[in-house]
Amino acid sequence: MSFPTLYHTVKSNRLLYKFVKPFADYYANISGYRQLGLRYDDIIIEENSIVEQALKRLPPEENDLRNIRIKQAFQLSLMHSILPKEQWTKPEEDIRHLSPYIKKVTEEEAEREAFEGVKIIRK
Amino acid sequence: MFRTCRLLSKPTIPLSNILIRKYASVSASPVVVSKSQTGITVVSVEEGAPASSVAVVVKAGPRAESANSVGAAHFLKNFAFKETQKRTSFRTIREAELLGGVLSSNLTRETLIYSAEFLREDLTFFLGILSDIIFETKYFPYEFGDVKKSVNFETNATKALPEVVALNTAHSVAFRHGLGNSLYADESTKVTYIQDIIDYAKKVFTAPNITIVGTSVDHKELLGLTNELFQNISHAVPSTPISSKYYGGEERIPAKGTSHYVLAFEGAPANTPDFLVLQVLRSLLDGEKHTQWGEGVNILASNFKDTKISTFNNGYSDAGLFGIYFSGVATSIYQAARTAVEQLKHAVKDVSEEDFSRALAKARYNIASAYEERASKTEIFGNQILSTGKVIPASEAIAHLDQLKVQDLQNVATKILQSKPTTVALGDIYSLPYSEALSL
Repeated sequence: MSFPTLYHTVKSNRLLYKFVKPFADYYANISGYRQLGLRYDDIIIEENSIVEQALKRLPPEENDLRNIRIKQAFQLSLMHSILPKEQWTKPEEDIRHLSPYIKKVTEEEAEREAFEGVKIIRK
Repeated sequence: MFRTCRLLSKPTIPLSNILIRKYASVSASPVVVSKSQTGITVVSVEEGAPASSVAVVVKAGPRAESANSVGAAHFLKNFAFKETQKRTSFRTIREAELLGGVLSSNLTRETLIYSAEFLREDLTFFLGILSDIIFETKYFPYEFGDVKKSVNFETNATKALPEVVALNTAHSVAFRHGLGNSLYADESTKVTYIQDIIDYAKKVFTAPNITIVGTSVDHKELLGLTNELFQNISHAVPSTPISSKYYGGEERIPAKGTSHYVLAFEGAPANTPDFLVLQVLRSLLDGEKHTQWGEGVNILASNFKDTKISTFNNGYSDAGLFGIYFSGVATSIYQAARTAVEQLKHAVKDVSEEDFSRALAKARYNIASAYEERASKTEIFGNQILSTGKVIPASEAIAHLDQLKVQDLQNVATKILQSKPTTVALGDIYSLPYSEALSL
């Protein structure tokens, strides 16, 4: 789960951060998941071994809440509606609950790869 | 087939060489004991071997469990070599493999032993791994599931071993709590969440509870590394466990297949003179055959061909369990157990000098060989330091054994017969004897 990112460059430069942040917030708001009561980490694609492993490590209570949010969003999506505005996910509620686990699993995978000195590539 | 071959082949060593008695060179390997600055006792034996071992012996066996931490010792054992601040579990295993070392964690009733075996020059790395277990293990909640799985697996695997079940039950009947706590976390475990293990670890990992035992390592180097790696150890004085009390009693468990029977008495704590006497008594009664295809020497060994009979003498810091273990057909066990009791009573009344010296020789050998093997040596030294604060070398134990008289044996045999017997019948409980039937 790695993709090219400018996150650290932007985060470390205060001026750039101040400039980009409003656009980022605006983008997060219009992307629509918050209107369905979801968090950003709920819409990460699950169908790969790393995220699957990360989901297994999620504490049970976190996982339950996550499932409830996804079910609710699914229902809303079926009904072609969104939540009333006061129930939207607030920016401060949009916690990255799954990302640390994904990061951990990714690191472990990388370590495993590094230890496999020889990699056989079939042609 | 193999047997015939062996008998026909000519001896390759000239007979005269066998007949000349040679004395094994008993250049006693020096055991050095010192207290490190951290308060941890460091023991090392220099044998000059290229393969070394180092073990961290912690007084954290099931004995140390309290009512609300039943089973925690087994969980803690299986939490060894999990992720630490410095390395993931995967990295620990791979790096140890690359250096050609072996890591293991073992549980006895009183101690938890983390040990590493490796080539002499890798001491720093392996002692580092062992200290990481104590200080740096992260105890991730998601690892709990894996650990629980392995704990359950071990518990269920041992449930299928009647010998283990019988002896474990014998301990719980004899001592109830403390030494009677099960080695395996079974259904009655109170460990339900990661925090239970962390609490237990915090309680047991303190300086007075730990001994480091090294074999074939440089003592100064080991001491220096201990000072460096274990400097953050807690100095909390652990609560002294309630002293063991022997109860005794009877337990009968129905099971299919071969029957098993344990008859045990109150033994003596390890490192006491009585314990050594019991070692002799054990050899005297021993129903094991020591030559292949041979006839046993004593009655128990030669008369009961369809019953496996072995004696045990388990010594702990403040109590012991001495007994005989039978397995085979229930009706033969009945006969064998009666004979064993007769033999025991015979030992009280009259033992011939010949039998006594035979038993003494076997006991001497048993002690010497226990000190020979690396794992058992580590355990012996660790336990001695943790319970008495000093090391008793093999030569000393054997020297003590040589002074024993038949009278000592009779006194101790009388004493153990006075204790209430512990019996465990596992298998065909209809035919297996009740302790009253053994005319004790």
